[in-house]
Amino acid sequence: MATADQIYDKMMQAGEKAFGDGWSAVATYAPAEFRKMAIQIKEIAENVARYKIDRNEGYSPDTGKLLLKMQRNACESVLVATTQLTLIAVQNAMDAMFEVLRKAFKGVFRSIL
Amino acid sequence: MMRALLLAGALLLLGGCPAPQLVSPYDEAIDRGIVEFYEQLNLFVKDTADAAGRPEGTYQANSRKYNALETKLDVLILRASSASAGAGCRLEAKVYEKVEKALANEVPADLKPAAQSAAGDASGCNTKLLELVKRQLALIREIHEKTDKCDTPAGPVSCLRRATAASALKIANQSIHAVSVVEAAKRN
Repeated sequence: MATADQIYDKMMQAGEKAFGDGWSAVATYAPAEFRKMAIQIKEIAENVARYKIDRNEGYSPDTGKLLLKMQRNACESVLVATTQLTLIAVQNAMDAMFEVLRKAFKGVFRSIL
Repeated sequence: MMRALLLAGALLLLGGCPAPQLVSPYDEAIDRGIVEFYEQLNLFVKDTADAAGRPEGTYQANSRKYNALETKLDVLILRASSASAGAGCRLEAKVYEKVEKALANEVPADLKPAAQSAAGDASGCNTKLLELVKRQLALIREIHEKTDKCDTPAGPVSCLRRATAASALKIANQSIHAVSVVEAAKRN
């Protein structure tokens, strides 16, 4: 399973491309927010993996998706508040970034991203 | 005589003018309210996780507790937004220094000076943070109602699993803590 550092590195690479011209605006704040999200993605993936082995452990991929949405909400709120970018622009960029993550990380990550 | 009356009137008027606000007024109700909300949410989620798989742990048995928590947040949002009058998020320098110290240089990015609107105040920041907490609560509710299931002899029932509770509180508490720190920093 990928480490939080590997997820973070991929987010930073994908983020720069996904945000395009808006990257300079979010570059100051994105690292701290992406770091928190990478740690959370890793924790969620571990719990979903536990669930797939034993249904009494961890939680389902559907729950994992909603927990990730909680962290993503927090991240989007920060990026909208810190820049002149609109919520739609930030959400579109985050969608593009998550698409890259979906392709980069296989297995249990695919079921939550 | 007339001049003395005018002078007295002017002094009365000046005395009645409020001093300019250099720092957003501290609101004890928000400070106390967010601590109470933290206690209530954490206790509720942990107790519900402990009851997972039993009738008292189902969403149906707990839906009114979500209503109560949501209403408490609505009251806090109303107070914070009334104080800011929709002006936006901007921490005054004095408040920012205290927030930075309290969070040990881990100030949420949306509270840092460069991030803030030209107009606005600390109450505007708390309005945004409280609205975020409300969205987090709605997602915990959705998980409890729709996605988390526990197996019982009678079949799967809605529940909040221990692992879910731990992850959800970790995320939600980040935002709750930020509200508490901002309000406390406005004191003194």
